[in-house]
Amino acid sequence: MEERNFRRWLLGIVVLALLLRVAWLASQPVSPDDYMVGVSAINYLENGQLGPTMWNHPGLRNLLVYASLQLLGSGVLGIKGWSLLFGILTTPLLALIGRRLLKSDLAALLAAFFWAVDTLSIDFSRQGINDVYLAFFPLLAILLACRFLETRNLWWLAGSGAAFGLGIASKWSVLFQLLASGGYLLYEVRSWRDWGGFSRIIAFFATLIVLPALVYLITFLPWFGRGYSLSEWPQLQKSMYLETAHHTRYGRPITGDHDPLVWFLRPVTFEDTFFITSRPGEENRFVVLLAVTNPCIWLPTLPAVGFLLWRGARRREAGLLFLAALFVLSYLPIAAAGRAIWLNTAFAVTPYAFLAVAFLVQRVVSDRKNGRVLLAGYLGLTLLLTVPLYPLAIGEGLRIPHMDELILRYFKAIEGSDLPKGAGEVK
Amino acid sequence: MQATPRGSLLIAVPILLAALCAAWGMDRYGKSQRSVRAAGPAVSGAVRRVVVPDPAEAFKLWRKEHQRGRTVLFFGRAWPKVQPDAFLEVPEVRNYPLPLSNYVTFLEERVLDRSTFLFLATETGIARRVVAVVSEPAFQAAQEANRTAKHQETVAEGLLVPYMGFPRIFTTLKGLSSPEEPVLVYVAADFFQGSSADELKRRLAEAGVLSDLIVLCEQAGDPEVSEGARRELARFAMLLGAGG
Repeated sequence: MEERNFRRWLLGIVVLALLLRVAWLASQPVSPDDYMVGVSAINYLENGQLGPTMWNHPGLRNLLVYASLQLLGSGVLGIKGWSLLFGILTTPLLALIGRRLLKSDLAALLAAFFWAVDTLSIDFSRQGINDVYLAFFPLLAILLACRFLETRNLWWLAGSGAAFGLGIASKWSVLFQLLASGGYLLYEVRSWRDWGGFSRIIAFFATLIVLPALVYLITFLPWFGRGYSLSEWPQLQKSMYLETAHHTRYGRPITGDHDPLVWFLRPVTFEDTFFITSRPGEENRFVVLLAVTNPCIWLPTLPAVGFLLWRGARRREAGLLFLAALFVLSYLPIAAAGRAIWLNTAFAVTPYAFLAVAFLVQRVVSDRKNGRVLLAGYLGLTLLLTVPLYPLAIGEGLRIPHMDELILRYFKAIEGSDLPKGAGEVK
Repeated sequence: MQATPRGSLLIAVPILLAALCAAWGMDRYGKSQRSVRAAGPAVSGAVRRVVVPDPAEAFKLWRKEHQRGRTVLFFGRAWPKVQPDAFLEVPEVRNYPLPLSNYVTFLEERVLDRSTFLFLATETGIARRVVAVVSEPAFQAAQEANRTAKHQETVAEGLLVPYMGFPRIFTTLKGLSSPEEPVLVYVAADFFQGSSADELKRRLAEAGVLSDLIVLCEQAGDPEVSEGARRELARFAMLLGAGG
């Protein structure tokens, strides 16, 4: 594809991603999580305490949200600006990485398109909590690592390490992407004759182990401000790890879709329900933010990864195997966790799933007489499914006739209890 | 900077140095935030001692003195239980711009009382850790209640059960060991419903506890605290000697 055309298409997809993420954002009801993100950011920076919400995750979100609250106030951008920014920027990141690993502009654009219209990605780009960071920072790190391989400039490698550090400072699952990337880099540089042995080891050690650890440690500066010493830091990490490893919601038992084994076997959902009122004394409004995965994008994932592995091994294409490794190393620990895990954790996996599916689709439609028709049909179906799923993801589903009934039935089925008083009635 | 042996050193050495400096610097910074004043053996009589009528007054005293980053050595019949979730209200009206504020300042103004003072000390940064010396039954109850806690372990000082990462250590008078730094000592009158003043003084001396401030709380008006316990608290103050 001509470079000019690639850029035009990519720009169009980024604009689509932006529009889907900002439309009606200012009027979207503020969830309790969004509110608590602000409270927790202030608590961390001004009191050095993790929490009160999601205390078991590292504090990068708190640092960023506090900065945006100070700069932009406690409006929608102050609370959600970072998720919005990272959610939008993940779109071109996927394309740029897809180009390099899949060696196909079409596959690259498809991956970006999937992210742009995926309702889980849209949902969490519009929330204050930091799950979208799990997609953005590792992808940024991987792109910078690719730039290092292309230019042999060590600053890119250092940038990659720093980006991984920021990712780990969002959630620890980024360690798996770091592991996969480290393996890929070691493989790719094995033939660099003028850079061997100790030089390679020291550079990788410093940039991909020490630098991420340094960035991660620095994000705990507010906590150290409470008088803690370095020797007390490991105990905090242990507490955070134990909470994370056994976490099944704070307080109430977990409900909703929470089996990662079925993420790519059937459409799954993430629901956030709450009451809100515009003014004191007015009637409460029941809100359901419901992200439903698009089967056109999610369900081909496992066959697509299988195809990646097969083709990558057969043709010795390291990029394909690297992508497969990213998916496997990111998904397997989640799938094997043996406990309930909510769908938002899938952001550690979805970028690589989307790249894999994009590659499969590109291979299917390429070199076929009716390839364009097939592609158009597939994209049309994907978009067609996105249309009804979009209002669900932005919390407007209950305002749409007939859709409201479906949502309320779904809520009753998934929560296993009657609807809250004032939520509406199942007819 | 190209990937060459020289390039590797030029990139690696600064990173390694930065990491070492950061680790050392953050450790120093953390320790510098602790408000420790001239300390001595807790039983020496030379350590400043304040008697307060109510636990909330202890908190106010610590606040007034800008105590920060301390280990609080708490002596009481039991850990003062609170339900922190009950304090956390997400308002039903949530319009932009959101009415956000410092949650801890909010708590301090609204919920300070005899049961929340220690919780607030942890939240406000007065205490960075608490070692709670409680009665034997209360310690056993704490062991039982935390048997299934996600993080609980036996450490040198007792039973560690962090709350949201905040270190809380439970022990008994028999298990009291010497903290590695001068502590803020807080003795509640109800501690003497299971122990004697002589016993407490002896254990403090044996453990070599150092302090710069001892707060003795009469728990006035608390119907669960006996007058006998308050008298024993006063006797403990006399046993400590001059102080004040």
